[in-house]
Amino acid sequence: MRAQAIISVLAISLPLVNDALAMGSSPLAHAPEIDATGSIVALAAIAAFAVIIWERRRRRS
Amino acid sequence: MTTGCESLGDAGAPQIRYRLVFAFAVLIADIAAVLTFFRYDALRVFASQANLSCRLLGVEYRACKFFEGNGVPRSLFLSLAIIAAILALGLYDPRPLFYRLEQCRRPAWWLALNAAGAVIFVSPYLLVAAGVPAPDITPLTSSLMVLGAAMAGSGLLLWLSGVRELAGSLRPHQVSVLIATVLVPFVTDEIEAIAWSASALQAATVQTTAFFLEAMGQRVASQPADAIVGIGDFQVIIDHQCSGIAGVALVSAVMGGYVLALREQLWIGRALLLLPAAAALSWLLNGVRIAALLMIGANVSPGLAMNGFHEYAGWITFCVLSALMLFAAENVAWIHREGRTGQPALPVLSDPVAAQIGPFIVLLLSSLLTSAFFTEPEAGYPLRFALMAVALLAFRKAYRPRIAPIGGLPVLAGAGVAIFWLGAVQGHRALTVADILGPVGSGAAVLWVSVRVAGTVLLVPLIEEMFFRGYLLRRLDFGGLQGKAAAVLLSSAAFGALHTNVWLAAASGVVFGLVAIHKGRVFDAVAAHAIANAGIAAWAVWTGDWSVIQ
Repeated sequence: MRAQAIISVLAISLPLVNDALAMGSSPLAHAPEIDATGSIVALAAIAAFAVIIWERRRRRS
Repeated sequence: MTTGCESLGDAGAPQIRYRLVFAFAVLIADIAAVLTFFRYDALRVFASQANLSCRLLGVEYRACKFFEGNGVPRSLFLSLAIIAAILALGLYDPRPLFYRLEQCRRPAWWLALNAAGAVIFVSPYLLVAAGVPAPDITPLTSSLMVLGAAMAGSGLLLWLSGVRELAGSLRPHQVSVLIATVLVPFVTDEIEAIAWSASALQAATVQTTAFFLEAMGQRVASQPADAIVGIGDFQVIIDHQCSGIAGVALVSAVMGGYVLALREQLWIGRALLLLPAAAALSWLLNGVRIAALLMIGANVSPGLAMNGFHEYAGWITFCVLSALMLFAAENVAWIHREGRTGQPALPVLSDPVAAQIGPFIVLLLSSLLTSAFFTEPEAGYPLRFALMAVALLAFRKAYRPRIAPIGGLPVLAGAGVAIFWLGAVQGHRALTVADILGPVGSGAAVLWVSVRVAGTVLLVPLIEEMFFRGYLLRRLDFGGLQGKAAAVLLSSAAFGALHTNVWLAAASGVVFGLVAIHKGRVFDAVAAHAIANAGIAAWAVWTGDWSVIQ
């Protein structure tokens, strides 16, 4: 039940994330000449940070 | 249905290799067919149909941009990178995906499903070419594209795997996530129509921004009812996209993912409090971002404020907030069921895995910083160089350098990549040092060129190879030939997604990946990458065109 609740939150957030990533129509990039590079770089940085956390957890347990 | 005859066993390795190559070729053929129709307007060329384009077809804007606008379907690489991350985190066992590769019999109807899916995907185009008016097709377009993509994707997947094996490997919550992912394109517009139009949020953002500016002693002009705020003559309208809702959604997704991944180790009720906390902080930071934008626009440069800073400062605050929230979540014992157990972790700066990933994060963040604070981001490269060098020095205790003589393969591979790259990027608009730095003296230009070359040849290959080949490729390799092939492809897709020349970089990533697994030495990949970059940098210095380094 809790997992379903979390998934519901993600399902609501994902469209917004999806739009944030969409080229040219990024909500953080009104000007059409700005591409989505910033979004990909930022999400990659956070994903890499999460991987460090994950790896350190994995070895600790 | 049958699952095929006995396994091919070890003797079947060449057969498995052939099947992997074949599956990859089918994937490339699908993509090529779609790109040819939508991007290169195939029927106009071959059937003399004038002005057929996806925009005229009524294909939605996003799909149109996907195929036409930027030339490369970056979303494809992003999807592969997300799959790589999921596999890297061990959330899925990839072995069932390749189950059928080792079986003797190959049911060919799955390939027929793949081909039928590709045809359905381009069918809106075919219908218009056949004389059906575009407005009659428009309502069907999305459904046909989604159906075609689903058929093509599942056909190839089931050819590699099997219904029973895939069904047996999926757990209920994974099915829920899959269904939610499929539904996203259908509900996006409806949710946006509500979320992006929160005028109360816009007015509140104006007031928050004005509060921060007044706290810094600025004379603020604001009209919350019209969502206008400014300093002196420099005023901006807080559009609904800038109300902070996007940051709230993104940071909620990050923290939601954290809680979901660690749900068995967390007190869920307590951990879920992270979401509203992160959302509130994100919204406040958006006010800070707009206040800073106004300060820059009023006092430094309106152009810098409204272009680079406008977008990239948002991503910087998102990164900083997400990292801080994840760090806090890891260190607040109150939300963890069993507190800290097992052996204490190494200090981060002595941790070999953190040392492979940490400098790469700095490389990414330095790119956001220069994009936010420099009108021409390349001009800020010395700042990027300094940050990358500091990151490598900070992790120096964790490195166990295994420097070996460079063999012939890395040299050949590096030279080949350089030639391939330079041949492919010719014809782009040239970018000179004067374009980047503006009117500066020769001393400053020489200094910038020196730092740019040193970063490209020495730091970037080391940092990128430690992450993509040293960490990601090894982590994704689940064994056997299939494991290595999947690891090279996925790590290369991630490598490509983070470069401007996506396809070129992905192809180069495949070369560096093969060099790394040849003798199992990441150093060989570093050497090949450094040689390739040295060749490209030498060309840039020789011709004065720095657009080749992207």
